[in-house]
Amino acid sequence: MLKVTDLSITLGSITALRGLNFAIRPGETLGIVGESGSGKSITALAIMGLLPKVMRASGRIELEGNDLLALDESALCRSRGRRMAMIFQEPMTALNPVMPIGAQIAEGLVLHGIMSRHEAAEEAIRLVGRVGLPDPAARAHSYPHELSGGQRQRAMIAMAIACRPALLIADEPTSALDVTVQAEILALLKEVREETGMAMLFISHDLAVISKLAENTLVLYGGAAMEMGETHALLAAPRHPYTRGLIAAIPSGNAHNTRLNPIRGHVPELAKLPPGCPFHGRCPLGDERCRIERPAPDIAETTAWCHHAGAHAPLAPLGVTS
Amino acid sequence: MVRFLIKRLAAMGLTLFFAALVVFGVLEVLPGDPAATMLGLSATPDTIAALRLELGLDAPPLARFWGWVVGFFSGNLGISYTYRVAVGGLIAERMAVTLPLALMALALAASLGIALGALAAAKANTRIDALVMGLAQLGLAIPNFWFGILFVLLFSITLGWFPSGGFPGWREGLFPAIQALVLPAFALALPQSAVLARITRSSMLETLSEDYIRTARAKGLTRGQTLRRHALRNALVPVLTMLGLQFSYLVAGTIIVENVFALPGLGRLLVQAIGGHDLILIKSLVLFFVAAAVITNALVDIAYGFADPRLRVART
Repeated sequence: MLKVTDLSITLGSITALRGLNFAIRPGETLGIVGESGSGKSITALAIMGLLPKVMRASGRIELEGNDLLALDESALCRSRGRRMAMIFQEPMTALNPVMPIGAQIAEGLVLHGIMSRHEAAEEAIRLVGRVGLPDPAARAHSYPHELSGGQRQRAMIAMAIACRPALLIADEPTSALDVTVQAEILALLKEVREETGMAMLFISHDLAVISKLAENTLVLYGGAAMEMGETHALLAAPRHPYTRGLIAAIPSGNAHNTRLNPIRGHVPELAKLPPGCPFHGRCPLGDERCRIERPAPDIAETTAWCHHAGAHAPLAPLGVTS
Repeated sequence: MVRFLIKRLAAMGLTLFFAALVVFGVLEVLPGDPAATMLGLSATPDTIAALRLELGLDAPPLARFWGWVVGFFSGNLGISYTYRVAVGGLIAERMAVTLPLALMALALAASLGIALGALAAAKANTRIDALVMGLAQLGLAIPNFWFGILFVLLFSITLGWFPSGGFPGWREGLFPAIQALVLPAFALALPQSAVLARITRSSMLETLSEDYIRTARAKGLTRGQTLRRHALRNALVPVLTMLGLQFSYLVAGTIIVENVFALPGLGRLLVQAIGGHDLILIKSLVLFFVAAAVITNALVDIAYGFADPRLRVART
């Protein structure tokens, strides 16, 4: 369905993403997790063909057999919104403030010639109701400022699924929302995924959120894949030191007197990355080989791009070094 | 929305009332006898006394102010001293030239300015952008009367396309009348459209970096469609503010441009009234210009509510 092969993104001499490979089957969700600057958002924008002009993407992005990177702008416009749709992080700013949400939802349907203006307006009301907004006929005439954050994100989802796309990309769709609202939005996304059978690319910095939705998870760091595999395997037995650090850094709910467990050091600047593994500087197992040589994928329960991911590699203590 | 409208209109009425008070005060209550001012230095005491009687200057100021304000609504503003006709009729007659001129200039300035500004923003940092902004800089620097003189030289004297001045009156048919207004309208509009183009460009560029523009693109709209359907309306709110302010400048501009083109409009009337010390006429004309500006600003405020739904709530 979606197949990304050797995707790299450069910004001048800086490599923001290097040689990413993954695939998503229909009805399946891939979660991409990573810190800011890991390359997860630009991966999404590259698929949509909406990278800022200064960035260059190379490799292949195949959606239903078509290489999106080879398409021209008008062909891309026909795919966007119809075959692939995207939900953004900030429901506050991602909706046009001077247009009623019903009109914003109907717009894509009319644009792609799926429905007449009148039918699209009806369908927009149905969608507003489908995503759980009360009194859909009235809500469709509401402006974004008249809705709460969660309601706006629901409207955003209605807009994204309007044309029944084959792929839905959700870039941190719940990060700007209250925790209780987060759960509702995740549940809604799950429902519409099952209803439409679409594939989903779910991007988050929060491993806990991803684990609720994604069958497979890809861990990104410094523009490179760290580990990929089935979500439960990856969570249960992480093989990459970075993944282990991420899991250890999740505060556990019941231990309020234990220290928080951050990964030591800071995300390195992309411009200063060495040729080897981007994580080696913060990695407890990092050595000279990690600095110089790109690790090849080590395939077992999960795939880990790490020289030390061998099944019997010692699990060194992670986190605070004190 | 209704409450907002009522509030806005009440504020407008209050502004006009105070403006009338100031105009009246400056011209009549301040030291100096209006009758003597109107008649000049060579007047005899007899003629001054006769004029005082004609102007009703014996009545207390408050009563005269009230009479004037009431007259403004009933159209009875007295007889012009220099023209010897009713001021109300005179203003109405001259307005038939100035209002179409100002509206034409406003429409020209808005369409030209917004179109060019949007174009410059769409082609930001290209040669087209540089060209448009260069022209705008030029338009800002050249005053409207100079444009008027240049237009007369080029389009009237050299090419003979438009009359160099004067106004045939609306009774002679629509075409000759509009033809007479084209050059002055352009002269008035060009500097204003330059301002509008610059504001539209910067507002548009700011809007184009908003998240909802990316959302629109993700829906499958092309760059052009996004610009027209999503960016333009959002970008127009600050432009609208400027447009309202500019109408006042346009009306003030007619005073100069009507004189360059010898158009029998309100602006030219005001200059002539000042020249003839016709205080009766000046008083009402000035208030009329003030009213035009105040009413326009109120209309712009109301238009905001339509352009940006968020303001309908915030402003009530």
